[in-house]
Amino acid sequence: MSLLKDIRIKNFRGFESLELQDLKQVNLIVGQNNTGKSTVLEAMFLLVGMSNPNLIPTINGFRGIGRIGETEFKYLFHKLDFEKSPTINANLMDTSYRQLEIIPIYKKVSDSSQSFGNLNGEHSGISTSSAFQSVTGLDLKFSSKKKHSIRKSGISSIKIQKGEVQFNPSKDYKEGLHGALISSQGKEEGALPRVSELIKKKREHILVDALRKIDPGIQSIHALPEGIFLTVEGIDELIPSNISGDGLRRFLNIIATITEKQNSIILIDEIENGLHFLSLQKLWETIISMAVEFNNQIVATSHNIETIKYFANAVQSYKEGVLMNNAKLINIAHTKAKGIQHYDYSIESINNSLVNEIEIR
Amino acid sequence: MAGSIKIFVEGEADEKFISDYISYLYEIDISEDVIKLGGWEGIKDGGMINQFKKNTDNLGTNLIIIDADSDVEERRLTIRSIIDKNEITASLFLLPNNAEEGDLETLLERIINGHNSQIFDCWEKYEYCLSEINIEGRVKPLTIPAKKSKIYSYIEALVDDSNAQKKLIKDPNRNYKNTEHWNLESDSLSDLHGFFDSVFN
Repeated sequence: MSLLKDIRIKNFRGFESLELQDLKQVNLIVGQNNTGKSTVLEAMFLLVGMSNPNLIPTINGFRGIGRIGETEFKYLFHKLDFEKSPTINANLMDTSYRQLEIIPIYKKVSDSSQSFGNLNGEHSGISTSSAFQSVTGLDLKFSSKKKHSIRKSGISSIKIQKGEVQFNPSKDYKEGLHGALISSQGKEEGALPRVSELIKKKREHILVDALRKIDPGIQSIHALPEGIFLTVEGIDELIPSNISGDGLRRFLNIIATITEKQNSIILIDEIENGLHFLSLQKLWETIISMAVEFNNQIVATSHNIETIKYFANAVQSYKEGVLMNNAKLINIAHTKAKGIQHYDYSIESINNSLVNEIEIR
Repeated sequence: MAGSIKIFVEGEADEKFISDYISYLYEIDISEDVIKLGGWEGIKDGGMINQFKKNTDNLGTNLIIIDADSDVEERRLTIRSIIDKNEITASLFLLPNNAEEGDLETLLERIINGHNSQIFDCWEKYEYCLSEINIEGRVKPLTIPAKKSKIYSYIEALVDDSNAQKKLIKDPNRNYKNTEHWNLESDSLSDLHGFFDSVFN
């Protein structure tokens, strides 16, 4: 199984260092605001697609950062320090290992007002005085190693040249892992191509069965150029999913993403966004059964107690608890003595904590 | 910057007593930081271990206050071994006084307002009576009610029969600062008082 087992994150955004061990097939990351839950998902996303430089603006875009430039590159670096390169590495459940290092590309500038004219004099990974240098791009230095195989490595980059953004993916590397990150923003624009793909494969019944759990009147789903439409019992015309509410669209996007491809790593930020708490149980039940069916790994974030409760309930009730040892909750917290720490909870421990009214978020 | 003092107790009866006693001694409300283990064995739960570690990581202090039950040293060794195995930091106090066997109710029996001691005289007569009588056709002896019932009956005897007063008998609603019922200056509390002084003073 090419799913994440352990991950180590260094010098990436708010994390100086974080290691998560013994990840399960279904994982819920909880924590207070600004503890780095979304950052963990971003790190996983970058590592899964480590040769793809487009992921850099994608993750910044999820945070509402649209521009691409030195300032925006800096947001990836811990304490905005270009001298400490972010490094993300992981062991996978199939015993393979992969690593990504993000290295700034410097260009000497004699005049601070001059920028991004040409890339003469650029070099990677060496920084002397940033007062005379500008960062014009990032190298993504990656490697992967499977047991009994030779190490594969490469460098992709994102550069700004003459005001234009250039994405230079490594030509020699073909990514074997598949992953998706569903942001907390709730725009769900990724749903249409995924639903279209499922309809092409004649697997729309999976989506319809799932959607019926929150609206039993839904009869069929259609992907048209204008968007996703639903046939609803008692209504003669197709109904655009856009007017069906944020919750249904998010539900649809999550399910379509999980069912799009097998052996994938699905990252869902603030999973409960837009969903009524009564839909949460159905969402978790659906996610868990789909994740098992498609052999996908789920890593979701939340700070909602109802989400935790329904997550534990759904794992416990799935096929008489067969997933109990393959699901966990990870609480990430700022601590006074040790900085950012994580505390792991089994499903049994979640239940005990809820019964004893112990705060685990 | 000092962290919180978290107190791990067995259940809601302990939670209320400890919160009231600390409020009485130091005029602070610690109820949010008293954590119920759900029985002393709850200390072994991974989630509970996390609570200890998280508090230590936040420069806090962990206290464990549980029943000694029938063997003080055995319980102490068992808890110490759980503490060591899980690499947690905590100070332990075994009720009633960190030296004798017993439990919360043993301590509560000793700290009633002395004016009400006749209520316990009645209870002892009731226990004696139950142990002596033979009910025709019954093989097993009658069960002597647990000490929890004795405390419950003690408070029940002192409150009137209005619904509002009846609620005060239950574990989470008791008021141990009510001097008509309890004596928080009792010598029987001196060991627990000393234990708390070492962290709250």
